Amino acid sequence: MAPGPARAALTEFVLKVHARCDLACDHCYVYEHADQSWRRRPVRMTPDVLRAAAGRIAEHAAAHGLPDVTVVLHGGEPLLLGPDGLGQVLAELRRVIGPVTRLRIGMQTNGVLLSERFCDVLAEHDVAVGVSLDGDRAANDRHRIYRSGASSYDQVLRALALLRRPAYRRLWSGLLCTVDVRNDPIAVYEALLAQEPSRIDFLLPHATWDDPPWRPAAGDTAYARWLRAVHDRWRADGRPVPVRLFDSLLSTARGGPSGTEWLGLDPVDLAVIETDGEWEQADSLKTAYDGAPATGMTVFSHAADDVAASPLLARRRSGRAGLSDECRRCPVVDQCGGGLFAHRYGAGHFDHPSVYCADLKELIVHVNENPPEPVRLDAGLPDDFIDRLAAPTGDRVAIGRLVEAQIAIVRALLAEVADRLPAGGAGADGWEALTALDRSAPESVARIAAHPYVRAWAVDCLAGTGTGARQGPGYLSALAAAAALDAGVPVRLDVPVRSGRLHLPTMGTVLLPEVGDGTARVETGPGSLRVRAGDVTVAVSPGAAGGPRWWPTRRLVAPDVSVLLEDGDPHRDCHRLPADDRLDDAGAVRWAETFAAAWQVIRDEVPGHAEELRTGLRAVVPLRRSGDGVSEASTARQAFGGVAATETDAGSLAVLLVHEFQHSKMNALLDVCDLVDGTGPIDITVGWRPDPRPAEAVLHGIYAHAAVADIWRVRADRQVDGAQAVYRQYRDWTAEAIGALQRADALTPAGSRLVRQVARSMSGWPS
Amino acid sequence: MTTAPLRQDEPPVSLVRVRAEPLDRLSAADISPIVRRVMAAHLDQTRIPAAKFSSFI
Repeated sequence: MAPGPARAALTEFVLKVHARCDLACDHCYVYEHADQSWRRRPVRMTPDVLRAAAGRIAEHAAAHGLPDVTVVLHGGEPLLLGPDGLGQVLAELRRVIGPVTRLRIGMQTNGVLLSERFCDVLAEHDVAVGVSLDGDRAANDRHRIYRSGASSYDQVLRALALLRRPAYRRLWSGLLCTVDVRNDPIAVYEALLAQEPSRIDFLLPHATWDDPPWRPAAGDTAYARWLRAVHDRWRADGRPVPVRLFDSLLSTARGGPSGTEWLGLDPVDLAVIETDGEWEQADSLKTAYDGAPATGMTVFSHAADDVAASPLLARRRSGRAGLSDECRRCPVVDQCGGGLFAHRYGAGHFDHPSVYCADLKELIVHVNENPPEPVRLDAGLPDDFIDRLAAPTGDRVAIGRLVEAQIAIVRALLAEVADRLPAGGAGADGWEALTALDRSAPESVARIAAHPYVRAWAVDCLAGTGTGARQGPGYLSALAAAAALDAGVPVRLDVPVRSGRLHLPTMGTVLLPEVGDGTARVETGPGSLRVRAGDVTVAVSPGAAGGPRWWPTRRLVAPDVSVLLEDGDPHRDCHRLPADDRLDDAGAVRWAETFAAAWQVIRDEVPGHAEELRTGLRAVVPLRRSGDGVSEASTARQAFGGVAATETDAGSLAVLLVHEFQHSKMNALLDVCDLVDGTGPIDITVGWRPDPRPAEAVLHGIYAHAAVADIWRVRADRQVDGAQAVYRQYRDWTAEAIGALQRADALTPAGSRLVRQVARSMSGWPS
Repeated sequence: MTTAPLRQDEPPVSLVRVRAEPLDRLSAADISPIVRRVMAAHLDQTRIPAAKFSSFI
């Protein structure tokens, strides 16, 4: 068996900050399985152990130049530290590790002690909180009970209600459910889903060949059957929430990472630090035999590199080579990876398949044979629509159809957000006003719905990831107020304020620092906007210049185009690049001048693209230039018509607007049309990036780079210095990528048609 | 709403209708497939687990 790399870095550290638990779950591997080391450990991690542990992690991150590390607080039950104790642990971790690398902190809890006070501490230190729940009351009470035998179910549900509050929602990383095949799989799934988690994972109960899992009959693949039932329902539901197990199998089926230690062949790069400072391997090994996770090292005596180099950890990084002969011959080994290491144990060694081997194989084959069914939408597009979108000259009418489809999509998302509103809760009045405006002033509602960052908000909201300055469902009131203001119609609504800002999409931002997070009463009328919060009243006329309380959204205007200079919408961070805050007047004027000049360039060089941009471009988001001064630009999947960019010169802005809008068009097309076959290979080598790219990314690149090549072709034709070389580079990249994508056989008929059309357009270009 | 099983034999949802129909007259049948498609693509793009450690979600 070949050893793994000896000095690979560890990136995940599990800290056993409290070694006792307030529940007595009979399936707990920490207390109820073979390893009983908890009996000799200190109850809680002492400050000197914590300091040494944090120091070792920081030292390791620095030595390996790690961009980030994850620390998971685990137990036992970490909430037994109490809010103050927990806060001290978190502060120490941030103090020691924070300056060295980006520190992501998570915590797995049973939830029963969770309180507002705890949540405030967790929010202060930005901790992702996973909660364990085994399903509905009957399923959960089968194992997750107090020592007295009492149910923990109500306490856990109370904790989840707390985590669903807007202030804490961002903290909740998901639900962890241990499977018991005696529970009804659909009832468990529905009970978990009803809690609106941002993610779910199903764990098989820890077991080994020496101590196998309970089954209704020998050889019965009950675990596969149970998980298949959940999978099929989840798939039929349209995958309403990520399920790590199924997502991992979908990812590994296409050669992607597994994202979990219990599946796939990704190297395992985690270690555990116990309350007494002992380094241990993954704690699931506690199920194998007493002392199985031990390394014989402590944070006082050994660095993380020593742990990483230990033979057992090295073996778990050795991929296929570290598996049993039977596993290496298995056709689904790339997805299964031999299952969780602990589950392979039997007769004194780990050279076995998983004790769940038959279940895993059956599940993997089933998932592979039943990939997610794409949902078909009828966008009312003509047969030649793909050809029109591929035309190098641009097609304003085709973009108009995409815009209409986008508005329909946003309307559906808004209706879904409204459907999930609690009766009478924040946003209910806003939805009522919005639906009334949709009848009386539909063009105003359409203008708001067409704003790129309205969709970005709605998707965040539905995914349960709206956090911080981003808005929850109450933002429906802001949309309604903005539409009313646009229409000059009177409404009176309570609109959310985040971090002292009340934002009305496309209109502007009212500054209410005294409110912080809360609401303010908005009243609109013909040509007027009035906002009241406590003693403060702000009255503005839309179109009026900004002032200390009102930042109107400014526009970039050229003779036949007008787009928003979007430096206020809280959801513009969907570009995942640092957006500039409100520009000062001089900055806004510079942007306006550069945009106007860039627009002339686009009209002159590629007039067809100017027509497209005029139809579909809605907003330009100024980005902050990063420390190294590199120019950046971006589109976001959920923000059609939005382009984010750092400030640049007119010629460069012209190119990047065309380039980025091609991505926006492709995103909109992917919304309504399947272009990539999800079962195809994902890694294709392209000229513009060193790393292999998935098929969809290659398609994006082809579409965008063909347009860029077209601009440089025009410039080369006009004898612009250096243009010929740039043209050739983009043309060659695009042509090579087209060939690679076609050879990969990764496209649907529609995708193939699009690529063929692009290739046909390029065939007439000069060499 | 999104937990209602999806029937694959149903005709595709018309975006033209969703665009034209008043918001308060849109039904679950109108909007669910659109939401499913958008959210599935979103989740595919953002499928980044917090950690590989299996005992933490």
